This record gives sequence, C-alpha cells and structure tokens, in this order.
Amino acid sequence: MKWGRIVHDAWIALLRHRLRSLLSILGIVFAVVAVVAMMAIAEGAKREILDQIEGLGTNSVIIRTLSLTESQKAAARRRLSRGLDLSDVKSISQAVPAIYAIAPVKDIKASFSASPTQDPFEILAVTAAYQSVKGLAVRQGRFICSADLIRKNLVCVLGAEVSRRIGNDGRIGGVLRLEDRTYRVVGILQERQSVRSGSTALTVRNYNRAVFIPLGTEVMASDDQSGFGELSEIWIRVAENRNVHACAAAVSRVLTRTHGGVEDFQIIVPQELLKQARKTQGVFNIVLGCIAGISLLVGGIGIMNTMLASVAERTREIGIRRAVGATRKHIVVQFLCESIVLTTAGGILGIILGSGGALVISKVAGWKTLLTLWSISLSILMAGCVGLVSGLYPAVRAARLDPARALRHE
Amino acid sequence: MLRHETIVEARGLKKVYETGTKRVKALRGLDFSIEPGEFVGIMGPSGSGKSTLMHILGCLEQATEGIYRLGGKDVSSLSDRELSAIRASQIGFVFQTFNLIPQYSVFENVAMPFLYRGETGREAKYLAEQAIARVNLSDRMSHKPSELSGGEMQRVAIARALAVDPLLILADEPTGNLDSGTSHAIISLFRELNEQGATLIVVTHEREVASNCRRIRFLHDGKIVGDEDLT
Repeated sequence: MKWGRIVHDAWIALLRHRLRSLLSILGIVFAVVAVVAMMAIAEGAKREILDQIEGLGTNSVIIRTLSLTESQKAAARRRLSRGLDLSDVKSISQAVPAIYAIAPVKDIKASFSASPTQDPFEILAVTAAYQSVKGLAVRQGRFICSADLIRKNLVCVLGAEVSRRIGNDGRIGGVLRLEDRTYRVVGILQERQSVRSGSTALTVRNYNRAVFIPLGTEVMASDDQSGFGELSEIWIRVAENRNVHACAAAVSRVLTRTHGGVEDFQIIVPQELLKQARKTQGVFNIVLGCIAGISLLVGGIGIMNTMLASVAERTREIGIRRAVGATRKHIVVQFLCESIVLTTAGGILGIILGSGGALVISKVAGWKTLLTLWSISLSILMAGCVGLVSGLYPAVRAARLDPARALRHE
Repeated sequence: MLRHETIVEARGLKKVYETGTKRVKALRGLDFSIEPGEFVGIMGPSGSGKSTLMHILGCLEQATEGIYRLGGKDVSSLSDRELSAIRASQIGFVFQTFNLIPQYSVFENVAMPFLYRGETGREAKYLAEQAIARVNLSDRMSHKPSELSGGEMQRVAIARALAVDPLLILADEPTGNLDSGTSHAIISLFRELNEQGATLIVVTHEREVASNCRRIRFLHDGKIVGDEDLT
C-alpha cells in the first residue's frame, strides 16, 4: 500500500470521531504547548545573555574598578594602592605577554550641552587602542589617535545615534560643549546592533549613544579630585582565545602586587561568564525535559486508551479487511499510522498554540522569546514518537485478532 | 474462464474449538469437493458447522485435522501471511451484513483487495470498475455505503468479491438481511455470474434460495448428511 493512501485513510478514520480524537490529543497538545513556549522563553533569555557576553567580547579580559567607601579608600592608600590608573596599564603591558591591545577607559560623569536630560548620552575618555579592542568601525572621519592624546587635542568621535540626534553639530566639524571646553567632531561611528543591558556584571555599553574623547583632555569630576581610581576600566584584548584564562591570571597577579593586595578591582572574563551561562542553561534544559517527558507520558496513555477503544469498536472492520486479504502487517501499519497521525496533529496544534503563547508572553511580560526550528522539529518528533509508542500495543492487538472471530463480532 | 482442476477438495476435515475447559467439535470429519463452475448451496440448522466450513473454505481459519486443497494446492499448513495472499486473490466473500467499510466509497470498497495486493495502478482501477459495472452500479461509484439501499450494498459486496476474478465465491446468508424482492434479484445475479463461469458456494437456511443452486449439500452436526442435485 502507498504511504499517502495509508495516511489519508488514517485521517479519514480519525475525522469520523472528531470530538473523541480532539479530546484524546489534548494531553499531547498541552505538553507541546508547554515545551514550545518554554523553549521559546529559555531560548530568548539565552540569546539575550549570550548577546551581552559576546558584546563584551569572548577574547577580552576586563578590569573594572570597584567603588570603595571613604574608609576603604583610606585603608587602600595606606597600603600604597592608588586604585586603577594608567600605571597599571603600563605594568600589565610590560608583564603580561599575548596581549593584542590594552585600552584604559574612563567614564566621564559630566554632561554636554546637546545631551538629553532623560537618559543622557555616555561620555568615555579613551585611548586610540580602544577602537581595536572593541572592534569599532568608523563610518565617517577617524577615531581618536595617539597624536590627540599627546597633544591633548579637544576632539571627539560620536556614536551613530548621537550624531543623528544632535542635528548640525552631529556632523564632522561640528562642535560639542563639555563643561567649559569645546570639542570638535572628527569622526562618526557606524551603527551597531544595540544590546539591551542586563545585570550589573554584564553591563554592555551602547556605542550608538556614546561620545568618545581623548583620555587626559577631560575635566576632572569635582568630587573626585584625589585622583584615586582614575580609570573606570581597563580593556584587554588577548591575541588568541585559548590564552584568555592565562592572561586573566597574570593580570590578577600583577595588579595584586601593584595594589599592595587591596581588592579595589574586579577582573571579568566574558568567556568564563559564557561557560557559566551555558551550564545554567543545561540545568534548565534538563528540568524542561522532565516536565515535557511527564506531560507526554500522560498524553501517551490517553492516546493508548483511545486506540484500544477504537480497535475494540472496529473489530468487525478488522475482520473485513483481513477477509479481503490484509495481512497482520497491514493492520499494524494502519492502526499505528492512525495513532501517529493523531499525535502529530496534536503536536502541530500544540506548536501553533505554543508559538502564539510565546508571542503573547513576549508582548505582555516584555521577555524576549525565540522560536527555533530545532524546538519545532523536536516537538513534532516527540509527538510522533509518542504516537508510535502508545499506538504499538493497540495495533498489535488489532493484528492478532482472529479474522473469523473478528467477522462474527457484533 | 473455466478451470479444469478440482477447485475445492477437502478430506476428513475436523475442527475443534477449545474455550477454557470446553471442547466444541464443529466439524467431525467432513469430505467435500467442488468442481469448476459449480453453484452449491449448503443448508443446515444453526450449530451444524456451516459457518466453520465457510471460514475454513475461505482460508480465514484452518482445520484442526484433515486436508484441504484449494485449486490443487494444499493450504492446511500455510502461514497467516500466505493465507492472506490467497484471500486477496483467490477467494471472494459475500456476507449477510454486507460488511462494507463505511468511510470508503463504493469504488474504494471494491478496490480494497487490490490495495492489499499492492496493486493500485490503472489495471486495478479498470478491474474494479468492470466489477462494479457487472452489478450495474456504475452510476454509484463515488457514493458511500450509507447512501445505498440494502440490495445495492449487497451488490457492492458482490462486486468486491468478483473484482479479483477469484477461484471461488463464498456467500454466507447473502439474502438474510434483504426483503424478498431484493433477495430474488441477488439470487438471479448469482445465477448470472455462475452462467458466466463463476464457482459459487452459498450458505443459507432458506429453501427458496437454495433451490436456485444447482446442487444442495445438507450439513448436520459437523458432517455432510445429504446431497441433492437440482440440475
């Protein structure tokens, strides 16, 4: 018999008892809805975290200054630590090999004339190396160069959104007022896909909303004249991915020595975070799998029940088919196919409802959801397998019926 | 269309049913033979073993003891699969309750044996349509059984039995669920088919039906107890 015909026959047989078929697949439908929706949510969350981590760069090591209280600062000074500053950059680049580029960064708390009061643009004082560390692409003009740093040129480079938002001053040659100094625009960055910033450890800067100025030209923030912790961050790009951990360890040793053992810095290794995120994801997947497994088991029992009832009710039909020449195999295939078509239909229904559910969740709760081809095919496959497993016993029972007795069945 | 070898040759057929501790002897050493082109009626009271004999002759069941040759071939010890193949190509069944598949159309019902023989091509379609034409239902090809009258349903069943050009057509009380007018029509259809060369066995308890056959065998307590030639 041809497969198309078998599936068509199965579909017709199931349609004869629409309500019963529908009710019997509800278990499968709910299981698949749960799997699809939960996987979409989990996948969305995973994508978001991965984007953030990758936004930081998997081949980078980040040293961030830790904000200390006044008494902690005093204690640090006693032990000859001056916080994160340019001398650290020097000692790291001298002591640690395998560094591709190292870039000190300073967050400037001042605001400039054209910046919106709500959600102001970020101002970063950087060196020329920052471009290669972060892989920033310049759309127009140039990035901060070493000459700017030496001569303390009052120039700036704008993120794409900043350039768009501040009108004429956002073009090359435009002028930005920062406190009492005037910076000339020399470059505009290319638009970058922005990543929503999440937890504090994973703060990712939105470079579309950033203004870069040469480090050393900035006005000191008034409340921090001591010069303690001059830099906010030091970014290191490691030449080869596999050296990231060794590099982080070496940096830690250097800084512990130069800071006299004071823990006023934090070393972040995105690769490490990535590993952790993957591990958490693995645990989540196992839990998800268990829930899905239990739902499918319950659904499968329902299907088996329905198929057994169907076999009992169609005993005579089985007898007729055997009388006109159907073999046992034909009967097994027929009933197995019915049960697989039934559960696969449940799977498809579940996918439709589940993706709808995921969409509603992402709209209502604002969570990012992601429907992957993998989760859809996995759901269909699972539903089909449940049909196969739970339909097997009823189908074999149907095939084992004695043809003569089946024909006499009322 | 006439076949020259003996179609049915049964020697010492016994059938014992065992249900729990009970042993029921349905056939007790039955000898039986049918030549090509015969039209035989089998009569007997209920419990005489008519149905059991039908099932064994139709390869739906196997005898506990004895030899059964169908078209010269010993089928007493064939596997389930081989028996299915014989049913699909050499036996045509007609039942009291028509036994059509309700979700199938007239055409699909008649073409069913071809389906199980793995023949779905143009030739199978042609043969099924021919069989439907022989029972005068060509205009009802795509109807469902529920849209047909009892007589029409039985004609569909006969077309299904005819379609594969079987060695033997077995009819079990074919007029049991029909009114007398329709019964007559069905019996004359059988006679017509027989005149065209088909070999038929009709199990019935109605003397009027049996009297249309060429020969009647009487069955009692699992044995043939009488033989009447009507030609």
